[in-house]
Amino acid sequence: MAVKVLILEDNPVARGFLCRVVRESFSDVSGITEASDLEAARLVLGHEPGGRASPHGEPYQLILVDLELPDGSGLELLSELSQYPATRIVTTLYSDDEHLFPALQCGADGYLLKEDRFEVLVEELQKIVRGQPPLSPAIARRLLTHFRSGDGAPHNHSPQPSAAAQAASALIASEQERLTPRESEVLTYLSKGFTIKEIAALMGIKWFTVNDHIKSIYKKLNVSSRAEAAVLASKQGLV
Amino acid sequence: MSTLLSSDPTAPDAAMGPVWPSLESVLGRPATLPRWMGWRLRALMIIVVMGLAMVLLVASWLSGGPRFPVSFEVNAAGEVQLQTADYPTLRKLEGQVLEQIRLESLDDQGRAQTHVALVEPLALHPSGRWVLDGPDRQRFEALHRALAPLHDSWSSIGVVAQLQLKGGAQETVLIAPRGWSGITPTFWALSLLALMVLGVGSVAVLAGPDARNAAFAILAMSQSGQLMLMAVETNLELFTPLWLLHIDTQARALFDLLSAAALVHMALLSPAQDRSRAWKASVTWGLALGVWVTCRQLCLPHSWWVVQLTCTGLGAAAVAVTVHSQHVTPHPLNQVLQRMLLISLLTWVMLTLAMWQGASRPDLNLQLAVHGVATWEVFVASMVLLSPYFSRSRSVMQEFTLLAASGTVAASLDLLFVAVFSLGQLTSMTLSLFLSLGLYLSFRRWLLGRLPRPAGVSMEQVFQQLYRIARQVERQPEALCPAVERLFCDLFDPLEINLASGELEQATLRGNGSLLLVPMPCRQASGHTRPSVMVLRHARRGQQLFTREDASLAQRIVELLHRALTFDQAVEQGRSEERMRIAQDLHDDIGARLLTLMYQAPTPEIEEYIRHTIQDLKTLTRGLAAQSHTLGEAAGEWKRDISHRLRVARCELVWQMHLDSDVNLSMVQWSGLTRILRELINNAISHARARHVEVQLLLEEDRLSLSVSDDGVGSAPSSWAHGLGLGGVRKRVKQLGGTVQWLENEPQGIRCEVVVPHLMGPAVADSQFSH
Repeated sequence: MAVKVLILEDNPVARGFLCRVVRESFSDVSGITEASDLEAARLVLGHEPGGRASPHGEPYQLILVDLELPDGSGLELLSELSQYPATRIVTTLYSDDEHLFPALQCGADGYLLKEDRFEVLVEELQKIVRGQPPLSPAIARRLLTHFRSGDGAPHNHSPQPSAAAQAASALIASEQERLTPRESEVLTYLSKGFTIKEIAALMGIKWFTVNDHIKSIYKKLNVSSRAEAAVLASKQGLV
Repeated sequence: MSTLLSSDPTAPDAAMGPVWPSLESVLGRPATLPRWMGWRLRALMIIVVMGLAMVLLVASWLSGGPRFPVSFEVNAAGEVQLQTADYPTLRKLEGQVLEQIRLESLDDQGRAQTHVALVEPLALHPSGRWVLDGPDRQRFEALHRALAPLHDSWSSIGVVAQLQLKGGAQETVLIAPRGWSGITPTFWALSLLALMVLGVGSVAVLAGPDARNAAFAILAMSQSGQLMLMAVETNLELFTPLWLLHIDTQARALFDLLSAAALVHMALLSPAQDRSRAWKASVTWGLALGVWVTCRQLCLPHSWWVVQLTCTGLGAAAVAVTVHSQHVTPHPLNQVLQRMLLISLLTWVMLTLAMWQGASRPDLNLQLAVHGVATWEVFVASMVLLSPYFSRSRSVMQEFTLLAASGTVAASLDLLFVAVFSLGQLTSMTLSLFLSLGLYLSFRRWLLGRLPRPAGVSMEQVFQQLYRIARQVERQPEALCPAVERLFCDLFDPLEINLASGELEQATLRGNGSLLLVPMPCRQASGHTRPSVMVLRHARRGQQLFTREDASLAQRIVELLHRALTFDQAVEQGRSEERMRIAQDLHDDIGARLLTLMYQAPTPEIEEYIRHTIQDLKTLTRGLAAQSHTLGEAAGEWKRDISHRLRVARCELVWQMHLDSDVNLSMVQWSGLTRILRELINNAISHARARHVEVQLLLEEDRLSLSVSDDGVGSAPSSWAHGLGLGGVRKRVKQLGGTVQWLENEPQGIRCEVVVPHLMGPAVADSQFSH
């Protein structure tokens, strides 16, 4: 089956580089669409700003989104793509959790660091598509606090949430079915800088089981983030 | 505490730090006492107004009474001499010795009758209470009884009396009513003092109706009564009515005994005395009342001594009780009570001894009975009056104690010298003045040596500590409370120091100065936004009370600290915003350009070089933007980065890490260590072409050691040229205050060892110094 790819990146040199990476990663690329800003990307996907992108015709299977764009943040497109059945990957220069964590919450399936070498990028991209998303120690730590506190990452909403919001977040807590002990353990090891292989050895499980745990954590983060976004929206009277 | 937690919607969870007990539970009563309630104020007003009316009534009664136009004095021979005449026609009488007063009155049948009243020094005594012997007291009464016809025939225009002078001369004088102007100023002064003492006693018992305050009120009422009696008697002299004489003797004995018993009761009510307190108190009151009932007329030969000794014994018992309870649980109020009791007891014993010694000489005896007793009464009354204020100001306490003690000692010594050594008035006065002056000076020096305010910490040290606390709190917000606690410990050396949650406007005193409450500076950023109060119990290990000065000092310290902290916070916020902006700009502009450059690099070497530059830029900007890193977190990221890089280079990593404690890294430390590690790994991969890299990171007792060893082709590190990379490592290690050396590994390869002997150096030194 041929893979259709969308690359959103404002720097033409970087765009060309990413195209090479994609072509190198997959033998069956049917077509690569390039977009240099959010507006062009929306035009290609066929939706309005703030709307929901829905697949029609021949959908893209892989979408690479740059975070820093001339007309906004890639996060906007990511949230618009939440219903889109494609692998969404963030390409960025920022490797810190403050930038990446929101992207993961918006539904990104993984991230590529633009300064990595060509071979590394190819390998990482293949891994993400195969379902082995990376997790840096900083993001693992963020995830741990996110799931421990139950009401999302430490964002600065009003110090005393209203009773309704509290009830809603309690609902999420039950709905998002928190992390299993095994998943927490994996996250804790990740936050200490252990590699997947080391974690597998430490926990006495196969490395692909560790991978499954990581995927499951990603999924839970996505679910909980969406629920949280709904709560936030309802609190602000958007819905 | 439980009520606090349940009523507080933002109840702190475990992450918010320790949960302190509420202020109420620490104090054992409501944090804010109810203000004066209406009825209490009204009751006080009624008491004071009634007292005032009483004084005016007495004054008006006095103004209608007889007043002898010439004042008396007792000479050394024990005769009554006429001293100062009120009007010129009587001036010729001055210096004459008076023997009798004759009064003529008409009896029932209209016949003229002559009453002869002898005038003896004994008759000039103001009160029978201070006449020692039983026979003397009967004589004292008899002399006054002889003057009773004067009262019988008293009319508003006065009575004519004949004075029989020594040497046979006679003189007729008119004994006129005293009138308002004839009332001596002493009367007004003493009755004013009596009113004030009465007021203080009533305030105490109205403000806090408990046993201790009731005892204090009894003490105050007794002293007030004594003062009032004295005030009246200074005016009456010879013409004290018989009924007043009887009442006076009894009342004065009762007041003395009651005061002594009240003192014992107050001493017994200190916290250390738990069992048999009620029993001891009732024995005390029983004893006092029993002695009064048996000896109230002072008619038995030894009654006077029984009363004196009972008072002395009770006073000694009160001192013993305070000494004991101070021994069990030190309490500053107890200490004050003990000292005052001791001073009073000593003066009382001295007064009694002086009266006893001076009994043989009538002139001296009279002096003692008038002035000695008056001094004693005023001393005790002013002590009662000032006792509530001792805790307010240390200087009041000091100066009062010194002046009162030395004044009383001077008076007593004066009288003792005259009595024991038969010295002349002037000599004894001078001598005793000098002695008491010496005593005052030495006592003052001793006292100032004993309670030095700045003994614990000098102001300079306080400021240094404040500064250090502000710096420390900047690094570790949770260190605020322990640091302030240490500072207050150094300043006041309290017996106990606690934190309680509660709100307080400013530093206040509680429990008459045994507690000092200080509101803690509140920091929004540090997480504990709940207001808390520091409760200090008993200054100087229970030896002293907290004073107003202490409270205002504590208040100033807290305010300064608060200001310093908010200032630091604002500066820090500004700095971090600025850093964020710079980081963002650097990253977005230069980062994007470098990236473009890297993609277009002509050779892999240049590409690699630019990649490193980008990584350095990222480290730099992250160091600028990030809040703080702990060593453990940073190590996790280092490990992941290194293993990632080594995996790409097909190189094996052995990572060993042991941290005995996790510490917060400063920005300089974090970026320094990050770059050192990156450079060393870079060397191992690209120059040494190693297949196996071993990284060891140890933190033991603040000594950080980092070693990176490889099995590459490098050798003879001493001969290396100091290129950009190695020079960078050296520079950063030096910044961290450490040392670096490269060694050859055993089979092959290079080992680099970085040692930072005191990673958190200054902070640790800080906390050690301030302990």
